[in-house]
Amino acid sequence: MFLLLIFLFLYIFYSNYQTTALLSKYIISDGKNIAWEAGNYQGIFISGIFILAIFATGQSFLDLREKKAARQYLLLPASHLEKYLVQFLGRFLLPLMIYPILFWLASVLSVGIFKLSLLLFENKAIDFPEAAPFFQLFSLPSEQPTIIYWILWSIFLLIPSLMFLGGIIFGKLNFVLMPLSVLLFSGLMALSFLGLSWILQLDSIILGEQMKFEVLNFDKSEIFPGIPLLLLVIIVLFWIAILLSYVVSYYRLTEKEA
Amino acid sequence: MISIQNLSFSYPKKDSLFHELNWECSDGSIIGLLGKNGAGKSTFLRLLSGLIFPKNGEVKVGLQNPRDRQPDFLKDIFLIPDELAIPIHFKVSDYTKMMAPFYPQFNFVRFEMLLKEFEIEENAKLGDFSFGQQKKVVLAFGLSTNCKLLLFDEPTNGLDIPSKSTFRKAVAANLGDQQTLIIATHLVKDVENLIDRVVILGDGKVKLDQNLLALSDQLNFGYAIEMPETAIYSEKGGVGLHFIQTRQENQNQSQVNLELLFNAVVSGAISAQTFLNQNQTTS
Repeated sequence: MFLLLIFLFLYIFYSNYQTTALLSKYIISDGKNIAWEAGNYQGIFISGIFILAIFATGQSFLDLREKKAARQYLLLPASHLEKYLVQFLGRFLLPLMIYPILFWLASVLSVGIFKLSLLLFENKAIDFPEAAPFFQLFSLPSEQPTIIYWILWSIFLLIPSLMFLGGIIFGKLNFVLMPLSVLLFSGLMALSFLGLSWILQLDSIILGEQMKFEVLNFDKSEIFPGIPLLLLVIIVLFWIAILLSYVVSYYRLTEKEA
Repeated sequence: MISIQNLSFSYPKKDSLFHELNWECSDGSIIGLLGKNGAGKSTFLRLLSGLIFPKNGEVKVGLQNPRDRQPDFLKDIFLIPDELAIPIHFKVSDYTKMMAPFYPQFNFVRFEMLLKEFEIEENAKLGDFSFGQQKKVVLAFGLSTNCKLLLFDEPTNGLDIPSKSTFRKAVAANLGDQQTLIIATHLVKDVENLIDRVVILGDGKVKLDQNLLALSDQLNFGYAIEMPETAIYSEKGGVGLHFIQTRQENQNQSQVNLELLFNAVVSGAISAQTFLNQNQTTS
């Protein structure tokens, strides 16, 4: 259902966008080519991962949400590990593996339908829009430092991992409570960062008539060449959180009562 | 064998439900678990199945700790809760195909036979059934699993009168010597002729745990216009009184009136001590 919506969304989006582009090119003739390009897919693709994390991965351990179903599920003659792996595969790994493939197929189909409709209704054969190049969905502009890749990958993995954990902790309110928890935690991190700036340099934050708001620079204090200490700490924290989310959800399952 | 040692349990923000409860039970009995509302009958079954964990003490079923919920333990235990959770979009036959492989000793022939006895259509959808019919499917399934420990919570709740009789017959005919069935119920009459042991819970403990043969051996259940002098407990019934008295050697054995016994135990007129005293007197 979710993927169908993605497909529809892409299709409608292309149709409107490209129709506008064609109109501007062939009717208004202002010379601007705002045609859809391969690189434009990435934003939607990444947004899709977060939506997928909330509405698919976040639905982990669905049977444990209701007491009656939870009793049946917990008494099913299988080990905790087997029950856990089924959830992990079905709610985490499989959706994240299938999503890029379906996204790519949806883009190819959308583009195909769009081109065909133009050919049929306007008798125009065009080269654009482009379908999503599969591997480009995962790539970043090459000029970015390596640490940015690490941060982005850790975020991509952290969000679904936390949503997977949230399924067994927050139950049906997971889609609200886990994002809220992440926001709260991020807020606390930001505040502690401000606090740290204030401790190190007392006049960095002055509120009042002379409002001054200076924080420590993320890029400074490089622990290795090109690797700032603060970013390294954040990456380490993120990866620990990713690993812990699986460990905690497993032990939460073993300790679950109904 | 089930062994419970010094079990204490309470729900969060509630008073203690069980305190230092001890109980043992060997294999191969049909036990009636009785108690007032809120005495902890369902909780007791959930503790035995490992759905909830004791705050203190130890529960053992065979060599296993239910808390671990090991597959070897789970495939030998079947709990029928009072509130069922079954896949309503499934046909009975599909439900069986899906669930039976989890129970290695599952007897398909018996299951089909029990469905016929309960007048349940195998190709019908579970969602089209009434609560009572769904319960019959699960009862038939439970009795076909051949699990060593069967835990039925209010099994006759929702069954019509003929089905209650069928249930009693099915249990009597299909339970193996090594199988233990614990029936938690407040519908005492439904299990009166079925159980061979009665356990009464109250005040966080096992108030009475007696074999029905021993009960009819030691107590006399009768009905009279006036209360006999030797009566331990009595209550009004029609124009006379139902009473319990200590059975004399020359008296014939009477059928145990579970409802009367339950009321006597709950009121405190009869306790485990009554039987201890009696045994000491006779010896």
